[in-house]
Amino acid sequence: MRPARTLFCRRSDDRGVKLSRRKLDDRSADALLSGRAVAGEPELSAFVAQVQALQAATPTPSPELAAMLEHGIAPEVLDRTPVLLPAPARRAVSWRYALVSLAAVLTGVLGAGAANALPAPAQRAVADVVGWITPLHLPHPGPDKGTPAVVPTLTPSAEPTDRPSQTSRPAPDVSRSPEQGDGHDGGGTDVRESPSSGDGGTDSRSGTDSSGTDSSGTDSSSASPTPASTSPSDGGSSDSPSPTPTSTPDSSGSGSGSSDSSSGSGASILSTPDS
Amino acid sequence: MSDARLEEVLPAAQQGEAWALRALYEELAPRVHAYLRARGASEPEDLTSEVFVTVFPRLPSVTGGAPGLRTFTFSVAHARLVDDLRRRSRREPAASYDPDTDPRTSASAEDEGLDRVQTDQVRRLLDALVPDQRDVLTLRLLADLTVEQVADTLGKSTGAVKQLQRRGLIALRRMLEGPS
Repeated sequence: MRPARTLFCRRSDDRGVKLSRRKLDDRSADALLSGRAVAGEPELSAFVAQVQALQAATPTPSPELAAMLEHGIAPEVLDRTPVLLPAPARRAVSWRYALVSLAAVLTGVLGAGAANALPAPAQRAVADVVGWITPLHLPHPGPDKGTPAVVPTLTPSAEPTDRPSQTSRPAPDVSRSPEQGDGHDGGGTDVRESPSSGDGGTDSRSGTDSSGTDSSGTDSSSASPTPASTSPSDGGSSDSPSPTPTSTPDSSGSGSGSSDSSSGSGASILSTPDS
Repeated sequence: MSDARLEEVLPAAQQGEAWALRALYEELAPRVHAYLRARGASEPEDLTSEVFVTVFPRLPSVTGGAPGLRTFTFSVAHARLVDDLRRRSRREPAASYDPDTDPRTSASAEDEGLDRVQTDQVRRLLDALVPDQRDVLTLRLLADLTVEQVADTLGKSTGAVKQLQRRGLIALRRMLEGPS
């Protein structure tokens, strides 16, 4: 059975051979170009023979060349400077690729740096280098996201959700009852009313104290050094530091910070001489 | 003349000896002429003479023996050819030929005619190739250069030359097989 004619068959004999898609390996190519007949390549072999037949007799030299061939070349006319053959193109190509690649990388880094899209260390380095080399100023990276921003919130309405910052002040008495004048009893959400509520991550001093906080005003001297909390209304479960001045001299001793053994930031706020 | 013969002649030619120059010319000139003619040079004979007028005074600086001489000679030929083709491309189109007004005569007009037909067929096929493929194939076929010598002549890598010659032959085969 004869094979079906394919798309690439260019002959009328329907041999089903993909004539133009036949492979030609380097060995066959070398043999053809050396003038040797290669089986299965009659057309190419004939063409090579035809091309090589173009070599005719020696062409007639021009008068200038004929004089050289007749009399030779005087030694003083001979040029002894080194012959320079064309350099391989791959060197130029590799240099071109290297330059384009370098330009692309620099453009990408500078673009990302201008958009402040690099990682913080890289952004800082790029901004420094660019600022040092050029008059341009790239944005420097912001503060580390792990570090809370210091926002000195002194508004009295801020909820006392803070955990006292680290100080050396001893922890106040946790067993003090709410009736003892703690300023956190007003809201009813003060978890310090339960003696056991001060442990763990529960900040007993947080809450919605209204009496102690509002009535006492703000003790600016005690509040100022304390970092602000970003969530003043997160109730007693919040363990974020808060600078909120929640106590007054007359109320702070009533177990404020009583449940927080690690209290400290609010030392001047929460401690009273009688506590 | 083999490369061994070229090696024998080359030292004397580098000293400017006339007999050695003639020997080199008789060996290399037919190949240079055929290469220029196959590539469509306007005046291949004159251009061949220009090539050797350039090559001979610089023979003392040629290194690499016979292969180096072949490479250098065809580098010059290729450069002259490129110059000639560029020069022609910038020229105005020539007036059409009128044989009745041509006073020249030739004793071998029929032979020249047959030769021209053959050359035209070869050139038509070669002209249909990509220029790089055409350069590689003509240098390999007519100049009898190796892959490395062609690479040096054209300023390409040997891998690129092998690729070009293989693709050029495949393209030629496609054309020779004719339309479906």
